[in-house]
Amino acid sequence: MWKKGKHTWKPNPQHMGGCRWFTKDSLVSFSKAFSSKPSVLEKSLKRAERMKEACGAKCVLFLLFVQTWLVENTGHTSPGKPVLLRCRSPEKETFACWWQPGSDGGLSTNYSLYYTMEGSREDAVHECPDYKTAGLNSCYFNKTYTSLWITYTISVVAQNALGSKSSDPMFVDVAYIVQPHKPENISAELRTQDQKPYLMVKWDPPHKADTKSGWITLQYEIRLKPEKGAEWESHYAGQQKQFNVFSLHPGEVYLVQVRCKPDHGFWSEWSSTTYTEIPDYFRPRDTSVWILIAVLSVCIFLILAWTVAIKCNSIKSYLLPPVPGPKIIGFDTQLLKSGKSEDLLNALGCQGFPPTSDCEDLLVEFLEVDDSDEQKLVMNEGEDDLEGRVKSSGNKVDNDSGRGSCDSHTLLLEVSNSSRKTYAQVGGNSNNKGSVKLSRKSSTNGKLLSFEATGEKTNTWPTANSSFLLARQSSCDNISKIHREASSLGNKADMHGNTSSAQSKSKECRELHSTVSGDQKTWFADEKHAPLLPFKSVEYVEVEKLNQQSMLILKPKTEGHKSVPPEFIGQEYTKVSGVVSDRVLLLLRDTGAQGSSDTQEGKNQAVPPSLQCQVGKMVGTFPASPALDGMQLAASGYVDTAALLQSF
Amino acid sequence: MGFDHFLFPVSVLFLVLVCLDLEYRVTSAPICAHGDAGCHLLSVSDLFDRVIQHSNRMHSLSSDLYSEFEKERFLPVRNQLGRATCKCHTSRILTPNGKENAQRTDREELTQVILRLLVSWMNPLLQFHQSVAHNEELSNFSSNKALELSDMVHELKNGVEKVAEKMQLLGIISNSLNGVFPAEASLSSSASNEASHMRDYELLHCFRRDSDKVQNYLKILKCKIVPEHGC
Repeated sequence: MWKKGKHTWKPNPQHMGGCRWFTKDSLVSFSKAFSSKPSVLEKSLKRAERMKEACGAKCVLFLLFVQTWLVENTGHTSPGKPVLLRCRSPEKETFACWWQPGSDGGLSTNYSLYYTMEGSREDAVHECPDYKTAGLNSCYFNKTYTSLWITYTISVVAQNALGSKSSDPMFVDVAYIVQPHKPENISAELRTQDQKPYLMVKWDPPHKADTKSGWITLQYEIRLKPEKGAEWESHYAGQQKQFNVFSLHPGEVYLVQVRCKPDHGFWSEWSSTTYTEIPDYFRPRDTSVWILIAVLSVCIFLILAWTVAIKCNSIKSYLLPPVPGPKIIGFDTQLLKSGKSEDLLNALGCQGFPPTSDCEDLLVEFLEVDDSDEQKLVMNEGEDDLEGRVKSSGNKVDNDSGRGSCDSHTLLLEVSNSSRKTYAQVGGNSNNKGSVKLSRKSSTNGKLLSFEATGEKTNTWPTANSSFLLARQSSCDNISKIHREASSLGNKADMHGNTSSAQSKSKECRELHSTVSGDQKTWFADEKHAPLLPFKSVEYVEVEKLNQQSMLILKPKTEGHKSVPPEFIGQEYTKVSGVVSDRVLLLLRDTGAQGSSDTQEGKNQAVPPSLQCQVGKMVGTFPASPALDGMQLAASGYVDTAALLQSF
Repeated sequence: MGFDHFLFPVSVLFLVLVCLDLEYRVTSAPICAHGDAGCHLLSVSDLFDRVIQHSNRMHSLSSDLYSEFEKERFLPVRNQLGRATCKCHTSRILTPNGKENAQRTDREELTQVILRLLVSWMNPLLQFHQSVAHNEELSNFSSNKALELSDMVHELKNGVEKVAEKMQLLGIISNSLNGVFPAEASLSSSASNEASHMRDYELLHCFRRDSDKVQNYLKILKCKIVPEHGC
């Protein structure tokens, strides 16, 4: 129907599947067909054409000149070219198009929209049915004018007094330009699941979109952010109409928005904002934190308790220092239980029997009685030794050393069944038989006669084989000699022993009292105990202690006598002839002489370990109380084996 | 390297689990073991869902191909401005072009329209695939998609036929459809001859539109028959 140039506008029936393309020329003619009100220019152009046909080129030029003059004088031009912006369908049933006008050229310009539909006749140009509904510069197609799956060709023509301009055409298939409205009725509800809060967001599709009949299927997207947050957090929700949001911060206000999109189409705008406040909840975190703290503290407590239990003793000793209990220096109860007297004695610091004094204030000179050539009065380096021993033993002394044991008179010397006799050898030295070496020791406080007993007998203390040292002098001369020596030691010799028996012994000892000159008090024979004593001249020496060198420190049983003649410097040996009644040590006068000496009755008693202590005590208190038991004993001149016993 | 180190114990564990006959075996169980009416309807709805999903996939595939062709095959003639208005070989088939029209159409006719459309595209797409395969200019992506497209049409047609049978079985639609198909077949063959003259781009343009129609019609049909399931 249109024949313009080379292009044919008529559809070719043989070319059913073919497509027609728009070209510039065809569009000009196309738009021309739409303009209903030809402009002044067009009119003039038409006139020019007619005139051209009529009068030729000159006329045309003249007319053009007039035309231009008109335009320049008035300042108006034909309108600018409008631009079609977009066409949108909200529900796939209607659609609307919007355009942007160009310059209006100073004159009032009106715009008109024209469209053709595919499949209809090509000359069926239609104008927009509704310019108002969709707003300014829009065209709205309602349901009757909308057909799906058909390509619309739309263009806008701007027209003013001087001319018209049409826009580029737009090809629209309504099925592909769907942009729905925003979703509606958005609600955000706070819920908890397993003590975890989450936000359940619900919405409705736009009321115009018909999803019920399946005509449109919409997909949704939700976004939210804290009120003071900067960025939105988006979630794709698919085709469902609710969504659960989990990652929430408590105590904040959240903004929620939803939008939708059809299968193939455009996203809607974001819906109106919904505000939700998340209340402060700390329970879940709180609970777990508290559980953790409880578990940790239980573990720490257990560890501490275990540590305390392990280190209980050391802690106790640190906090509460132990009160020292009674303890004998060097006395090992284990050894005592084991029954090894030798070890015990050694542990005590005694080398053999009798034990030496531990007392620190005791410096005793050994009085060694030796009636052979070999015998000599040896100033015992044991003095130093004793001191050293005292010192050393003193070092061993702790406050709780068993001083109490010194007081017990249980120094017991057991008589061996074999009645082996230890001999205090005066002047003789028979070591094998347990010679007793009387040695003098100087003491600051008192004088002691110490017997040094060697031999096995002394070492077997306190077993049955322990033996008495009975210092008995068959003759007073010997004894007195001893006594002389003994008295030379110092002031006196302390005698101690059992209270009752000691006193009796003291009397017996008087027998042994020798004629030693001076105010010695060594041994005295006691007339009273004559029946016990076969010899009247028996003198007794009380053994005070056994020093480290297995030397008996004897104490003469003198009464009242306190001094030992100082001329006793030598060393005399007295042989012990025998032990009688477990308490009396029989000393021989000379080496070979047999004799018996008085014995003293005694009882077997346990030997307290520190005779020396007692001696020390006795010595110490000597000036104060002259009438001690020991003193009385000393006066009698007996060797008080009880004292001997007590030394242990 | 670390991933390989990790992979072996995982695979061993997986094998153990599988062999231990834990709940890892996938077995098939019929949705409806017994023949109640509710169960039948459920199966129809399920069938519809599958078919709709399939048509959705088909449409998106055709859209992808079309946009690709539009870029590559833009006709290099000067002064070419816009799109072409094409005549598709299926334009003869009367299809409802609006919601009201579609809802007004009864189920049988709607089903018929769908089937017609699908049938008429089977041959053209096959030819299209062949022409694309021979064309070295196109990418592998395009040729693969074209092949997939022709397969999809076949599957979709079979699926819709099954749905129609089910519906006929249940008495949802009448049995007046049976006579349609052979006639359609003859129609489609003539149409396909015409379609062979079309160029690829135009063919895709038409097919994209028709697949959209099919998808829409299926959704409407489903919500008409089983509205309670996700409409």
